[in-house]
Amino acid sequence: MIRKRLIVLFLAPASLIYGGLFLVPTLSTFYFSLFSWSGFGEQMTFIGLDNYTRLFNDTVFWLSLRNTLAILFVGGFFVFGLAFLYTVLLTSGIWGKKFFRLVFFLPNVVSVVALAGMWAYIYNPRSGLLNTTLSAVGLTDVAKTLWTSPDNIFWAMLAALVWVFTGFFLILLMAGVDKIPTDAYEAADLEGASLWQKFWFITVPMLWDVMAISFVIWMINAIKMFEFPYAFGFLQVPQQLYTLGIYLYIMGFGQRDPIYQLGYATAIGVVMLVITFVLIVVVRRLLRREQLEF
Amino acid sequence: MSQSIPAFEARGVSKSYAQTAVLKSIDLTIERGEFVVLLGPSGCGKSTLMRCIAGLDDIGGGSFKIEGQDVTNAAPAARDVAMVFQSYALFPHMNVADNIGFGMRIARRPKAEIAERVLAAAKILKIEHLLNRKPKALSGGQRQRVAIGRAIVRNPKIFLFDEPLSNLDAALRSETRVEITRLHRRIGNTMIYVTHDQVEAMTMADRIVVMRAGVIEQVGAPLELYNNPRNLFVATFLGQPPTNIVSASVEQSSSDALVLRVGNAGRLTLPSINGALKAGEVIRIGIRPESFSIGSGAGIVPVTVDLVEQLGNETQIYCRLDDGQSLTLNIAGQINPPVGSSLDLQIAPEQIMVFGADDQNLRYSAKQ
Repeated sequence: MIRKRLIVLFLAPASLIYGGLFLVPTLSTFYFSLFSWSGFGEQMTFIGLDNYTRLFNDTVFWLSLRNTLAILFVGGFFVFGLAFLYTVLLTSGIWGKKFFRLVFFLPNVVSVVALAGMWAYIYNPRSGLLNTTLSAVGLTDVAKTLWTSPDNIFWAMLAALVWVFTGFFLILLMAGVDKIPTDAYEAADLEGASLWQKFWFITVPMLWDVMAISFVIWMINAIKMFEFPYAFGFLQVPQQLYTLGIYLYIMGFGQRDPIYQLGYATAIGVVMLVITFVLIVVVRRLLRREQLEF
Repeated sequence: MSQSIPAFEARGVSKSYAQTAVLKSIDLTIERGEFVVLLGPSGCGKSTLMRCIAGLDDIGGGSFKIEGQDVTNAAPAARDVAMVFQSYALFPHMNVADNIGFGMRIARRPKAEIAERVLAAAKILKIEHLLNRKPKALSGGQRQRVAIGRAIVRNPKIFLFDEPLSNLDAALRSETRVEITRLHRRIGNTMIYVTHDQVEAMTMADRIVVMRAGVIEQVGAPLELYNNPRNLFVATFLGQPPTNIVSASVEQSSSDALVLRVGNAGRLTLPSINGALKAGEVIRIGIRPESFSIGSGAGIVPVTVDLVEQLGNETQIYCRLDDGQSLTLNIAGQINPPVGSSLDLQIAPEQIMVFGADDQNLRYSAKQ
């Protein structure tokens, strides 16, 4: 009994801080989203679902949502496609596995803002590394591409984003693959399985729990994506790079010029929360499998 | 003509990990349909040799042939061998039928054929009622059968078993041992079986290959090895309880006889080994626990009883020679000498092994 009380006592400070600084504000978001409120001062006008109606008719919101979903699905496709490809290659018994894993993971130890700045330099139309390299290898037509033009900037940012995140998920997947007993692969070798068959029939099913958690982590990251596209857009983020997170921030606090529409911003936050919850529930349900023992 | 081609041949096979040689110039020929057991202590290289035969590990030198074809550099699947792993290596996400039929599935065989052959293999192993279960819903013995089923269904040229019984409890182990032997009689394929358990080796093998430190010490039928070991290692490794190894000094070595002093008061007269030893030399002799009888007369060795274990059908007696060397005796039936009492042991001279300075059995007779 004393032991139980002690546990409660020790957990209390953390629970209070978590509840006070996270749970209460999260729940308040639903409440504030029903008001027209600058976020400062006492003046809050109850407007019911007007913020949501406005969102529905706001083209910038739809652009932000589209960009967020593009990061989630297109970015996710490439992040996991590459992470899986590298996992297969690096766990096929090649030399230097740890070295390559480190190289792929390195972007994750550097500040996102610094990485975004580096990529902005790489994409620089005149002096950037990408176009200079393309010219050097004779692809002069491609080298004329303005990577940061309104048409291209989102996809240029997404490519850089994939580069940043692939290493992180590669680490997760490789840790999962290392857990698979080698004799499962040896048994498959004796049966004549190809690299692809071993991946499809052994690695994927035996990696299922790691994959499921990786997908969820990616979804949460993608839906709340903020820092990288924001830093990539420098001081005045173009609308082509808006994600839900960026749009929320800008509506709440503005960029160079203040906007201060916190009621509207919280409505965006509520939409993000709902999307996150729905997607997590769907993905968890789709990926649910019985626990494997090996 | 094809009858004369052996199922398996290894010629001068060697392998090293870094600076350590784990297989040293292995030569081995296995005839078709033979059940050969690779036996030896941990680290002797038996599992490595099996993995090299399967193609899971590369060899440093030498060659392998399977049914006359050189497979030294062939991929595992191209060798037409099937392996039952110590851990069984079942795929936990597949049911029993999918585990057994995995090889045919990836070879894109028709579903009907897969189902038919899986069922046939399952019937042989009496696991047809388990086909829809996942491995985690199976007992250790059932998992083991599934692993064997996966091998049977391929009807390979050679079956490889890597200590397949070591994860089973004692009762199930002896039961499965008998079943594997029956299976071999029934399907008749060549089988190579790795174990460190000499009981498994003795009971299952047509021939045993005794290995130590990467070298084959002796190859032969179980009783041939038991009765006629080439050296001290083989003599002590086979037999439970192990052979008693006792120091003895040579009193006389002539063309007529070899007379040995054992302890202070024991004297044994053995058939001559043609003067290979000199009087005064101290050597080691090997006596199986069951080679003793209690009696009196010529050629007796006096001992003191330390401990008696009654096993019902036999009695195991731990005793000491008068110079402190210990002996274990297996006496048929039930006797109960008091602890501390003296016994006079009689030993049939032809059952005594004599080891020279290099641990070779001086009474070993090589079969031609």
